[in-house]
Amino acid sequence: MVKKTIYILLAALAVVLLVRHFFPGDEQKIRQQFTRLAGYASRPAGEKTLAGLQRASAVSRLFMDRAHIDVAEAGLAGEYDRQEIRTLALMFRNRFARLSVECVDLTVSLDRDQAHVTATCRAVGTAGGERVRETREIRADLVRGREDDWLFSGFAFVPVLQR
Amino acid sequence: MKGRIPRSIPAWLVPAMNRRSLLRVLLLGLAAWLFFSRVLLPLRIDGRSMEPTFGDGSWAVCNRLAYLFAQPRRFDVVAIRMAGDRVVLLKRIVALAGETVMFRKGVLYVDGRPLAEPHVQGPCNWNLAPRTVAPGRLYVVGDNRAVPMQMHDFGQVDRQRILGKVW
Repeated sequence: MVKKTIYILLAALAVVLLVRHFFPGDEQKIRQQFTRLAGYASRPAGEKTLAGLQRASAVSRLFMDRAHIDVAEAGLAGEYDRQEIRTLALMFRNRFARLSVECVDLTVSLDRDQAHVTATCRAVGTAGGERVRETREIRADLVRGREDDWLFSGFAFVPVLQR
Repeated sequence: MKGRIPRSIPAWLVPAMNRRSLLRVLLLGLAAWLFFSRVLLPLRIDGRSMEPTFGDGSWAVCNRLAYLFAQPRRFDVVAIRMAGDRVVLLKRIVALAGETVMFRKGVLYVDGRPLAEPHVQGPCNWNLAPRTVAPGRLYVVGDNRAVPMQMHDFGQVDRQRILGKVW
């Protein structure tokens, strides 16, 4: 009887996971965009130049054609088009010999075709032979695209500590 | 073929696989999850900003109930929430709301008086102009002042972001 209950619970869990995987809701799609963004922003050791260009282009394709970016510590404030975002992504990634980016603690609030997300982003890597570890809280706005995908329309660092 | 439990293992360690045992395991798991996510939050230190108090790779515990009936005090080490509580910042409170804080040649001054900081070791040459901590905020700094000031995250933080006291 107990074994049967465990099997039923495991089967139910598997069904839920499969449904979420193959039929993601809006929140799941938005979370997947963050996973993609972190994946494309990451840089494996020994990455080839062409692969770097492709990944920077992939980052830019996750954004709307014009997106508002506000990252004061990098001197970015204003609207940027995809071409500029690709260049920024390329410059950012090229600072590191190796980089791993991860977004955690996502809170998604949906408002029809718009979404507001807060998350914590961690970047761990090596630059100039030294280990780099940066953690920032981010706020992002996304809008539903033509193909029912979600694209970033705004991206900003949230100041947690102010000198 | 049925496996037999060796006599060296006490029977109470291997309860019978019945509905009651399953319920006990579930309740114990739930209680452990609640305790270690809502009361005592285990933290693995990733970074060197709190050295020598907390070394890179070491472990600490955040008491989330510490400030339920008490206010944060100067020199408490606190966990600071970011977007959630999976990744937090660890810093030490050096000044409270309304106080004026500054660094001169590595020495911390609060309201114009130098304060001894036994938890800080190593050379420090920080210079920071005086600033007053806003209401509802605290001024936090890491213990590792050997790193250049520009590379160290510190400053005023909202009281609401303090998750708890760390030890």
